[in-house]
Amino acid sequence: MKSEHQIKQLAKQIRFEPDEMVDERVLACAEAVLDKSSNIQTSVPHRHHLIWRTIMKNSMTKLATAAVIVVAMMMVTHHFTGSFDGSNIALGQVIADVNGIIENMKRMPWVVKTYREPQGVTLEEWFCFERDYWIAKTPAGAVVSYNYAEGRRYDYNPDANSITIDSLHKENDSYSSFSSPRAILESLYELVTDKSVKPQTKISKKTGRYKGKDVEILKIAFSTNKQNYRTNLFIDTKRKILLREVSNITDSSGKMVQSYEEEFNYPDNGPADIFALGVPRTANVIDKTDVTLAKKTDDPKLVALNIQLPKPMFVGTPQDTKTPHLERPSGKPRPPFLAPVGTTNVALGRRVTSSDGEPIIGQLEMITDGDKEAADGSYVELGPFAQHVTIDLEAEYNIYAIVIWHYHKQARVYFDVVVQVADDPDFTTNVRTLFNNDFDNTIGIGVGESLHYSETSEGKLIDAKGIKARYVRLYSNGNTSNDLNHYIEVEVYGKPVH
Amino acid sequence: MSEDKHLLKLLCQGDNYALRRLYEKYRTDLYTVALSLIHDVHTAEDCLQDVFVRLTERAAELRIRRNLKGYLVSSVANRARDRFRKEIKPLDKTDGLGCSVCATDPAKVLIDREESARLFNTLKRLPFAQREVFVLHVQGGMKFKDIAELQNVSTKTVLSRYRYAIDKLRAFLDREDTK
Repeated sequence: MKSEHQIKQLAKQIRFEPDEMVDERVLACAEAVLDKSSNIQTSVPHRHHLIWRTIMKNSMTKLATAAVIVVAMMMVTHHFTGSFDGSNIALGQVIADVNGIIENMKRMPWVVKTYREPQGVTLEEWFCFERDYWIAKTPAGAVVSYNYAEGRRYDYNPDANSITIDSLHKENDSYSSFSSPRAILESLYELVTDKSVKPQTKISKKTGRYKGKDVEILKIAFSTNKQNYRTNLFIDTKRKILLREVSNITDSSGKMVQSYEEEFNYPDNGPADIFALGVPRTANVIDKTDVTLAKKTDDPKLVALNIQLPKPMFVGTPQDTKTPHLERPSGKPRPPFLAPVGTTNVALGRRVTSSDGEPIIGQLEMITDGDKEAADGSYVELGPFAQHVTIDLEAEYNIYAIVIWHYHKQARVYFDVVVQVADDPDFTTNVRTLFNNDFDNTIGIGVGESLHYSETSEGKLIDAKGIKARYVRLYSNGNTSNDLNHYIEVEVYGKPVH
Repeated sequence: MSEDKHLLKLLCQGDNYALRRLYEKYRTDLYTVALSLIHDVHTAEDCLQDVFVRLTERAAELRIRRNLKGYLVSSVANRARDRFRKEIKPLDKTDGLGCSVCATDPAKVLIDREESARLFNTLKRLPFAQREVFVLHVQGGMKFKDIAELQNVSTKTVLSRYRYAIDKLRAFLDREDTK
């Protein structure tokens, strides 16, 4: 059970940063008021306020990291007994000695840091200097890796079973300052050249044993303006590398801010990619480096899509326990779906073609006519078994959501629902699958991981994440009532590609 | 003279630097409070903008009794409450918000981010009055007495709301832990 203190600590750790566009907007508005009241002509807004972002990096965090290296380096090059005041060591000498510890670290193919807290929280991080690569795994199974050489980051979310690939922007990414092997070493230079930080370091040492190795145990204590650091370092006396760190950080009132232990190992090999740390290869891959998203400068705001719903034709939560791989109904209305301002249903009135050229009931144009009611005369019935319909949007769009209404007068389940987008009407070019619940690959497009779902008046919303495409194709393969296929309406929410 | 008083004085004189320094100093705290209260990115941005525009407009006539941060946090809270009463739909996803977590060890960020994200999402489930007390006290650093003045209730009522908020957050989080 979480204590009040723990809840407060978690709440205090929540920090949201407005993005640059918001900063610019707020400052521009406030400056306009300022200029108006003081009758001073302003120059063209400049990016001065962006400069402070780089200055605002937390030097305390780097301090904690670099302190380990500083002391390890001192152990390599200085022999001392008792305690000493760090300020007695000339900065120039320290800087000159930096190369020694850097060379030691660079010679290690891999550094594995296992972080532990008293309550048992553990995080494993792998650093590879040769590849300029960092990868970490949390207790909940999330895996993150930063490949600085490639300029990409990979995020695995175990709850969604998805891998997101994105570009790595060093200037914006808060991890880059800490996780890059190079950056850790660079922070050492900053520490010793930053004259505003004057650690009055007290160090004492003794010899000991750790995991069968002779070690020197250094007790380090230093304080900054806001925090006090107490660290014990266990250093392999033979190889002059760090094996373990035990640290306590308290604030100026003596209250414990953080207590942790880190163990360092130096294997010859490490995880080649996130799959080596247990990420399943069946995870959905969202490659944001390959998808054109609406640019923030064009659409900085997200708004809830206004999806008009038809009359529900049955009450209560659908119950169907016979269909395998069936999604459990939430029993609540679907939450609002956010998309950039200006997103509309771009499928309205567009031409529809089908694998069944002569529907049994209705016409294909009903699928995009805007009528979502489950009344007779409002739906299209296609022949049995696997069929598909294709919507030509008549131009390329950034698609954010697709909403499908099959026949929803009853709580049916339609099988093998697959939704794809492509650049050509025959679906041969740049075909991407957005949704697939064909778990046994009946249709032959591929094994789907998504669940079957019961039809309701809400329709099925598929998050398309801004994917760029002109053609949308939807498959199905009968339903729980018969082998036939039905559509009442399909909406495609998107914005024109600029 | 404290930095804030000095900056306010400069702001009255039309000093851009003072405005930017104040913005730089308080933007994160105020934005965090706004989002924790209202759970709507667009509204939180508007609140932040309104507060600084208002500060610039009224810098000359401001008589801040306690501290500037408290004044600014109260301003954000007032705007957030007004918006909430207009029934702004809550945000359901926090992944895209770029919630950062301050920690001295970067490794801890990954772990704490998950727990903090859960707590942030759980805040939405509190009645607004309780959420307001919790956010203003814990994230905004306001005293219960000041919150009582803001909410126009007694300090005892504020304390009760705070206790209820803690109990509910604990219950929600523990229930999710046992799933």
